[in-house]
Amino acid sequence: MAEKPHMNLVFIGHVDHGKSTTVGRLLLETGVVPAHVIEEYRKKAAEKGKATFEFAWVMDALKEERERGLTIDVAHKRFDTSKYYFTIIDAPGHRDFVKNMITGTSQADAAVLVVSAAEGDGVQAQTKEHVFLARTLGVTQLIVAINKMDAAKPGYNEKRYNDVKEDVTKLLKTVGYKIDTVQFVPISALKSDNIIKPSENIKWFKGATFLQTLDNLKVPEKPTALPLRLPVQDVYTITGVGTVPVGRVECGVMKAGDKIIFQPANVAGEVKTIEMHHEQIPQAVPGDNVGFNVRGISKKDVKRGDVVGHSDNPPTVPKTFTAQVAILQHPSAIAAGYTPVFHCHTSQVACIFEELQKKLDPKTGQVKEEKPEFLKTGDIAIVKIRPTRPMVIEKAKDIPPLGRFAVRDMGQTVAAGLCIDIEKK
Amino acid sequence: MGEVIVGLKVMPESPETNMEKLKNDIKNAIPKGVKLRGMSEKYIAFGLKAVDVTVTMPDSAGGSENVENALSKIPGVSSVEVTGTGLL
Repeated sequence: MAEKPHMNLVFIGHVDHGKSTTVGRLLLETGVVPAHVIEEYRKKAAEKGKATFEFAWVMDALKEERERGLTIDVAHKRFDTSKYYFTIIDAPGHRDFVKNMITGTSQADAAVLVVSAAEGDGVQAQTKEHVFLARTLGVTQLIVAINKMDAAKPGYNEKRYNDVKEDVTKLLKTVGYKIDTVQFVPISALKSDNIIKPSENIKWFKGATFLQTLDNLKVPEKPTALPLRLPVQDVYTITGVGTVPVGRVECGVMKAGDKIIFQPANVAGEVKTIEMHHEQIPQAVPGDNVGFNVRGISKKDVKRGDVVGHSDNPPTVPKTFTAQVAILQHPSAIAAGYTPVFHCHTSQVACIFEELQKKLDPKTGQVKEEKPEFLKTGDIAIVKIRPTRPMVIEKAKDIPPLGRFAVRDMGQTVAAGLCIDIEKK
Repeated sequence: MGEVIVGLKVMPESPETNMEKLKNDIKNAIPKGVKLRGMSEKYIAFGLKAVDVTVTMPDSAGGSENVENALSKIPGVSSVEVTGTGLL
């Protein structure tokens, strides 16, 4: 049988809204919880004379096993549906990990936003932050799982689902999601309602189950039609081979014989051979981690942070750029002149917040304030940025993987954002 | 808040770098509070190999920069890159 297509699925949402429970329930219902964990539980339950299956116990046992185990890898949560093979990324709660999500190489193909319908929950500050993050990560396919329907008051009521759905819809529109492509689904991960089969408790809902929403996703096409962009990770001089830059193709295609240019180094060369793992390959496509031998350059000409493009469509080195940023955490206030470090693809460059142009209302996306004097934690704003030394960044709309960045200062991830316009040199 | 798992790719300075010594140095450089959970060599190209490192740390620790910095300082390391992050 041919292997099923693979998808990376990121789970986002407020820390107490049942993200991990939803992931655990999905693993259990799709049959990937190890048999010995279930068996051990059955034995213990029988000893105590309990007949019902306690999901929380299985969750704890799994967590313990993962913590106790010696070797493990980042893609350790896997499950299958009839159509796909999924790897789950469960987003950490701490904001400092946002940098890892933005500059990390394992890209999410789709996101599940978990929002609790329990009384007093609904859209929270972290919900807003994660929605902005999903957009910044370039995730266009979104499922909104409205969780804890059992804990709504009264339990499983349709009105509460619709109210939460409406609030989330407003929020999604502000960051530019097309609502008709977003799937909404009411669930209770704890009680297993509407996860793999329709629930008696949610009879009023005529849409898909959670598992069906996952099967409705589409495998994103590789961005081969975009211009070539390969951020350089390292450069080597290899005896008998020559100068070999190493990196990952973000978009476009690089072939042996191509005329390429490194920016901002502004050095041109020709690709002689490309290797991936142990093999020589005729071309490298998005997602490939490759080394390539370049005629016409030496190791000291180019470095980490440079970006490779074709000579007739070189990477952009702007004088300034306009960005939409979300301030994730800052101890005081950010004013014009602030100069933190921007982490964008493999480069790290100090950049000046030259002009605070607009502050946006996170609820509506409308301009709340023109030319604000300062920005604080929780603000979303349009700002003009001036790099202190040349760097490559692209408009996120045109070349998404090279248009996003994380902003770090004082050992913290202060902000995350997208480049929305470029002022050329 | 739970434990966070982070994947890192460590690139040596040259294909001649002693990989056994490098792996041993990585083991010794892991900062306090961070657990080493996996390490393997990965062939890149033209004889070059990277070391894929997997670590876990509490979510409350706030980021993986201390591990990235500690590994970057090891003699013979050219670069350290985060490949993936998620809750354990």
